[in-house]
Amino acid sequence: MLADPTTCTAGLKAALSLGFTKPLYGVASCGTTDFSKNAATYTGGVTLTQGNVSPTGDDADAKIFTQAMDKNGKKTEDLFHAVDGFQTVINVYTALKTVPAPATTESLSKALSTNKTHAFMLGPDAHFTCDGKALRASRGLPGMFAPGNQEFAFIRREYEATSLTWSTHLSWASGSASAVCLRLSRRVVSSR
Amino acid sequence: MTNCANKAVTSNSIAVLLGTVGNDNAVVAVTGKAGVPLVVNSGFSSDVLKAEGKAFIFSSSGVSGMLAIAKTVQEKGLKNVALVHVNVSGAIGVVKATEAGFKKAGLTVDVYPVPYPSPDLTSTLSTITAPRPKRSSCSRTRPPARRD
Repeated sequence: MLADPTTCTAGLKAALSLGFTKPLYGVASCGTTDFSKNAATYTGGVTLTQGNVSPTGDDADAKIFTQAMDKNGKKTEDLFHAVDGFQTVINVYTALKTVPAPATTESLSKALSTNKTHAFMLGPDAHFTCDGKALRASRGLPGMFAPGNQEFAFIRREYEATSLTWSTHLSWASGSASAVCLRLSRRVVSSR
Repeated sequence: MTNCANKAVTSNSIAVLLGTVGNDNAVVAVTGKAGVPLVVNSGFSSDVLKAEGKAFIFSSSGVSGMLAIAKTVQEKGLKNVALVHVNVSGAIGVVKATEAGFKKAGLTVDVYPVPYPSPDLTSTLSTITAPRPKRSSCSRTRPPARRD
């Protein structure tokens, strides 16, 4: 498993040179053009995942995202690398847009810390509050999916030989109410 | 990274600092004191996790992507995972945050931190495939492999 974008391509190339046949997994930000080119030749199969709805699907947020990428001339295969940054910019903008001028440390921190029922970009339809319930030890992490304690949506991008498929999942239910911060709608988003 | 953070907060033009930072522990030490909220995109260190009111994540974060891998691996019926990640605080924090998810999925994880940059991971992957004694722990970190 290749857990970060700085090691993905080197790890994949090493696997190819060693004749590895075990399946490889990585985070979506691994999916650069160079990585994709090599992944298509790896016989063990390569799967990338990301915790959001498919940015190339029919979700309204996804359409905003792809339009923004198209406007800047980005190819579809580059989209996944940009999701976290795009989510962050949109979500922070939404959180801060009500801060009165002039902004101060206190007003900015308060807006980021107390923002409630905020639509979570590419979430899917997830809402969060910063009340510390997402991860009790970390009140600053409203958008983080508490490990193993709630449902979350994720996409999978699978390279098998020369084919590439994407799928969307809603998964990992457990019902541990104490850790639940996000409210997810049970909506499977189609991918293309 | 500390110098970079100092330049940012002393520029007097930044209200909120956004970005993906490998060594975010160094950055949050500076931004936290300066009163500039830090918003990280995906990775995070334990220092960021502890920086209540000073650091935030508003993305789905690397954690959910990693847990999606755990779920996928579980569905495939696999049991053992060798996890390679760059040895910086922002990646270490994510790996630690996801350990519970991997354990929940019934997976055994061997962690292989590698230095940045590591353009050639052949020796690391050779280590992963080498025969080894039977293990008893659920998760452990192996020392960084020798670089080629």
